[in-house]
Order: sequence, then C-alpha cells, then structure tokens
Amino acid sequence: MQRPENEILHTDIKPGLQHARRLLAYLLRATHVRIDPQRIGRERYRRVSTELADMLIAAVMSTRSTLGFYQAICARFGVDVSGGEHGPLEVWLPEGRIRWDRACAALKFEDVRQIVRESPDFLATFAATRGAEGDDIFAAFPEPTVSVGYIPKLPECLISPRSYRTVWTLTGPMHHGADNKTGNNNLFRRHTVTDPLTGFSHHVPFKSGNSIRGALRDKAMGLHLRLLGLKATDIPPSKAHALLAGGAVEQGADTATVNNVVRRRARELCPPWDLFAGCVDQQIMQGRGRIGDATLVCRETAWKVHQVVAPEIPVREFAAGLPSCDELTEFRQLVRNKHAELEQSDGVQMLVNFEVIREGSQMVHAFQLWSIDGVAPQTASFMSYLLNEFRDLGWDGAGFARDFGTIAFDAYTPGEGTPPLPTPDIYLEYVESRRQEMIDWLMEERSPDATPPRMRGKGGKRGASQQDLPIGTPEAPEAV
Amino acid sequence: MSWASENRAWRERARERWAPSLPEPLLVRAWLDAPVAYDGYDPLTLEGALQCVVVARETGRTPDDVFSDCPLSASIEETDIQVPIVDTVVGGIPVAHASIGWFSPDAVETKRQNWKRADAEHYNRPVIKISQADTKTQMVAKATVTALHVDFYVEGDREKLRDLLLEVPTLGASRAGGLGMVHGWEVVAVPLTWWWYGPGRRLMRSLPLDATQCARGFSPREATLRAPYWHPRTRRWCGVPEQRIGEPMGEARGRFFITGHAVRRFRERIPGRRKLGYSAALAELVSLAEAAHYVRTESDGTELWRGPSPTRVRLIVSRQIAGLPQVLTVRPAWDGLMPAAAP
Repeated sequence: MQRPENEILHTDIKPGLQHARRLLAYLLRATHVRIDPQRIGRERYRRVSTELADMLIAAVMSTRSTLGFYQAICARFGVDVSGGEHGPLEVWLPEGRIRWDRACAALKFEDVRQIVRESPDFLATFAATRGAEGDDIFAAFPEPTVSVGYIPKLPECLISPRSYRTVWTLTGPMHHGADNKTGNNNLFRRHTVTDPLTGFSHHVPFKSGNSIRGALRDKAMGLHLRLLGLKATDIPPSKAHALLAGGAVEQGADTATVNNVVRRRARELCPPWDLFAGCVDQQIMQGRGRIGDATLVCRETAWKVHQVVAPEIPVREFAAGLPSCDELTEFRQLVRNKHAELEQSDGVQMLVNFEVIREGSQMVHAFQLWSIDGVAPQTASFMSYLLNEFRDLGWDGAGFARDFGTIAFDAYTPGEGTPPLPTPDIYLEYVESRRQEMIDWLMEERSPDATPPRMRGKGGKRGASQQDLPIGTPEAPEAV
Repeated sequence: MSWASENRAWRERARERWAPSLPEPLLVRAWLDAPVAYDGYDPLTLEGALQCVVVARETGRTPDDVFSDCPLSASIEETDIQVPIVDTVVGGIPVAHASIGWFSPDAVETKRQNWKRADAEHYNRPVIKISQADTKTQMVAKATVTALHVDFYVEGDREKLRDLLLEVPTLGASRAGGLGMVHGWEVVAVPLTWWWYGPGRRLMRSLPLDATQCARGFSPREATLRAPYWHPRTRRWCGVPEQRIGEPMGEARGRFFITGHAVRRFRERIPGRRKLGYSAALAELVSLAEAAHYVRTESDGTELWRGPSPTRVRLIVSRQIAGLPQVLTVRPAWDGLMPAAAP
C-alpha cells in the first residue's frame, strides 16, 4: 500500500463506536508493521498476533487513558512510535493518513475499552493483515446495541431477607481468576452490573459466593476434624471427599428415594455437614448456609452497598465519593527466573501478570442461614466458631503463598429482624456430649441405614473405579 | 395412617393462617444481589418459595423432610399448601393470581462457572485420579440472568406476603453459592391486574391452553400449573409466557400504555430510528401516539390508529384488558417500507 497523500486530523474522525473500531484496528495494524523481528526474536514474532490479542485485554484493563493503553502495547513489543528512521508512526487509512498521537486523541477510552472487550482476536487478526485488505469488514458489523438506559426508582422501603453482613477491607492485593484465559494475563473475575443511578452497564470485579463457600467448607471440616482429634487421612476417602469437596453423585442418588434416617443422622452428627452438605450415602442434601458473592465497594455498586458501608450518607452523595471499579484494579507481574548460571536449569524465564484488586479496597460480603428458625442450634453455633476462625486467618482468594488475598473485617452483623448467631460454646458442648457418635459416623465407609446402591447390568458392571486401587496408609501431614 | 391424615392438622392451620384476608393487586419486586440461574425455559415463580416458608413456619422442618414420605400420586387437595395469594380454579386446578418473574429492562443473559475440585491430598489413598470417576474435577457452567430486579404481579395479602418474604432470601436454582440472592423485597399496591394477562393481553403466567385463546406472547407446550412446579400432578398442555430478556413491559404515557415490544418495533421498523436509545424512542412514540387518530377495528378486535405526517406510522392498539388502551406494536406507513430483517 502506498503512503496516502491526504493527511487527516483527529477532528476529521467521525464519532461513534463503528468509526472508533475501524481507527483502532488500523492503528494496531500500523503498530504491527513496526514490530521488529530482530528485536523481539523470530520465535516470538511468529506468534505475535496471539500475544497481541492477549495483551490488548491486559492493557485496556490496567490503564486509564487511550494514550496509556497505546503506550503499554508499544512497550510490550518494543515499538518506537516517536521517530527513528521511519519518522513518527502513521496510521494509513484508505482515505488518508493520521499520526498515531492524533489517532489516539480521536479515540475515546470508553470506546476503546468496549471495542477491545468485544473481540481482541478480531483486532489482532486485522492488525496482522497488510495493506487496506479487509476494510469492507467494518461495514458488515452492526452498530453495537444501544443501552436501554433504564433508571428505576430506587426502593424506599425494602424488606431485607434475614442475612449476616460485613465489610472486608483488603490488607493486601486480591486475585480471583476470571472465566476466560488471556495468555499470561490472569484477569480478575467480573460480571455485568447495571448501575441504577445512571442506567449504564459495567463490568465489575466480584468474588463468587461459590469460591468463598469452598474456602469456608475446607476450614469448617478441618476445624471439626481437629476438634475430634482426627485428620482427613484418618477417615475413609469417600467420606473425606464428601466432607471436603461435596462428594460424588453416585448411581441411584438422583432417584426419588429420600432416606431420612441417613439424612437426619448426618445433620445431627456433623454440624459442618449440616451447614454445607453435598452428596453422602446416595443422598443429595441441601446445606443450611447460603454464601453470597463479595461485592466490591465502588461507584457502580454504591446503591447496593451503601446501607452496609455508610447508611447515614445519601446514596447519590455516597456514590459520587467512590472511585470507579476500573480504578481499583492493577496488574502485578510475577517472574520465574531462568537461573542460567545453574547447570540443571531449563533456561526458561516466565512472566505472569495477575490483575488484582488494590490493597485498601473494600468488599461487602453476606451469607444467610436457610430458614433460621429451623436451623439446629449447634449448626448456627458452629457458624460462629467458623467465622471466628475465618477472621483470625484473614485470608480469601488466590495466591495466598504470595500474600495475596489478606483481609480484615469486623464480626458479621445480623440484618434487621435477624437473630444474632449463638456463641460457639453450644457447638463445643455438643461435640463433647456426642464425640464418639461423631467419630463413628466419620469412620463409616457407608451408613448402615443407607439404601444399597443399584448395580448396572448383570452382576453390577462397574467402570474403572478407584475402589480397585490398593489402599495404603500414607503418613498424613500434621495439621497446621 | 396415610401422609394426608398425618399432616392434616398443620395444613388446616396453615390454610386458616395464610389465606389472603385482604387481597389487593400488588407488585412484588425482588431487588437482586446476584445473577439468577435462568435457562429461558422454566419461568421463575414465587409461590414455591412462599410454600417452603409456610411449611417451615408451621412444622419447624424443611419441606424436603416433610414431603419425603408423601406419595407422588397424592392428590392436590391432600397436599396443597396455602399461601397468601388468591387462587381461581381452572380445569379443576387452583391457579394462583401470580405472574411469573419478569426481569427489569436492564437484564442481560450471562453465565456463571462453578468449579468443584477434589481436595485430593487429604484422602487416604495412594493415588487420586482427578480426571475420572468419583473424584473427577468438574466445571459447571450455569445460564444466568443479571438484572436489577424481578417483578411479580400478584393479587394477595400485603402484610402476610411481607411477613413471609423476610424468609425468602433467594430465587431460582444454584442458591448455595450465592446465585439468585435477593438484596431486598418491595411489596407495593399497584392498579395493575397483570397476574394472568398483561398489557395487550400478553400472557403473564402459564395457563391451560383453553384459557389462552385471546392471549399473546406465549408458546404452547407441556407445563405445570401449581406449586411445587416440579410435581407432575398438574402437568397439562399450557400456554407458557415468552420473555425477551431486556425488553421492558412498557409504561403508561399520555392516553396510551406503550408496550416495550412497540418501542422495539418502532426502532426496528421506522427508518432512522434504529440508533435511538430506549428512552428517546419511547418519547418519540408517545408524541406520535398523542397525535394519532383512530382508523378502524380489525377482525381480531385490535384497533388500527395512524400517526401524523411525515412518518404516518400505524399503531396497533388493544383494549382487551382494563385501563389505558395499549399500543401493542408499530408498523411503518405501508408494508412496502418494512425492512426484510424484521418480519
């Protein structure tokens, strides 16, 4: 493609997402041309479009302006946009050329963020193609859906279901993996949220209730076993799997046989099981605890968290004083050194980027005990015991070994009309009174009252079951 | 002793205590704290959750426990649980005056991935295979809807509903990990009687097919009519409402009720309106409707109205439910202008 004679200014670029998408794609194509294979290495150059697609998401998440975003891309690939033998980088559009800084000026960062999230692979593919090829593709894409802009009337009198809430303050950066992988950039998990104060939708980081539940479950079972003087390796593997991971849905568990003898015994003899439940002895059981997502305290979620964080301030005033969720995340780079001086070294150096929520940010977390009137006192008391342990440990999220996910919080407070949790003493006394029965239940491979499993086919055909493996007695590590 | 006779006492007590004594048209709005598990096939309903609370209040036990030995063939008269919502018997089945859950207009379809991993290091086995058999690691993706709120239109007893809703903390499936968590409930009296039929006689809940003949916006298929909705005893051929996620129900403006469907069609069908936001399109449609004039009544009972020049849009208006006449849909001045993409 010949250098276009016509020079364009940023004021010549029409507004709108379609035009922004086209300009950004051409800007990345011009940048791709400037990547020097000698500088970054042939091997890396062969896969440069994949790396670009991965990098786009990380760059748009970790920067706050179009210039910053573009700077991050250029720095990653060692592109000198300001001069050199070619002069300042120019974007060659079919209708004319525009200098990189003017192109950046014409791109609104909100548009860049939306376009990159829409499809980084499309942008990388276009960037890796030469000349004016593929310009017709932009007309084929429809204008992105215009948000309905729904602004509801916020509730004046809300009936809050019975729950317990607290505010976590992050004393270290927190990471929680996203659903999608983007190369060596591990993004924080996000979901779409509509801000009823503005009517706009945002991708807001959150920590899923299921992951918090998993962490609490591990702690709960560990506490209970330790109190009984047992380790997880002392009990049958199937029971350990049920306690720590919820068990497996065996054949016959999904049929209509509800064995209440087995269920009631499990709930009575293992309060943490009553709380989290799962599938044991072919019984799929429902736990009493419902663990909610942790909601980041930011401008976009202000309407939801303000009653917990600052009920005395009017919600709009409270929202105005909060940062946007995008300002609360940053990237942390981790390096695995290649240690080339060692003979045994594999000579591989690795860089990994983690998107983390910044230290000092706050999250609101809530849980509910299902049908509080019906929850056994020892189960509710155990929840108190567990929360004390959780608070003392002060950790949730990925990367604990790197000091990620440390949190501090005050005790969970019951909402309006919610009875306070009983003290842990009830649970501790209950364990003392029924210790041997509890140990017996834990040591059972299968409950004597359990319904016998139905075998498939003649003689009960079984698949490659782990039951066939020889059971050893490895030395279990001491509980920490 | 049969299950029915064994449980008659508390069911009678529940019937007396929880029957609606002061029924009125209500909007029950659940403000959501988390996405709701929703696959687009089975609608969200409220009565089942209320029944669970009634069972827990009356017996002190969970519905699972109470109904575990109830035979599947037990009749509805012997097992039904009273909630403070009015019922009408249709085809021998009491059908609640309660619509399905309608998502707010900001709603979007999303998904939530949950992982289950074996804590294998703590099992007393030399080798644990986490790619097969009972300790297999599982990633379960749930179809969810993220929305600000879900609305139920009911005829019921406000105070009793408020009391029970205190103990309804979640909606939908997969609740243990936080899906469907309710931030709070609003129960307000509204002049809308939309529990069965909505604006333009849009079907608002599953009803027997015979009762849906004049209704719109539903698909005919097998469904159940009475909570608990999983139970097969009330399974019939029904009209089941179709819900387009993100489409508002509409709002009353001026002399018409403008449905969300009409606003969507206005943006699709009238040249130059495709890029308008919902509010701008609604405002323009309201002004056109105000200046429109009646033309004729069609064979299906709807009315044709025509807007002013230059667009001269055709408005299809229904008066089949009480209240303001409802603008059901919008067509361009003549069919020749209809874009091919919008049938």
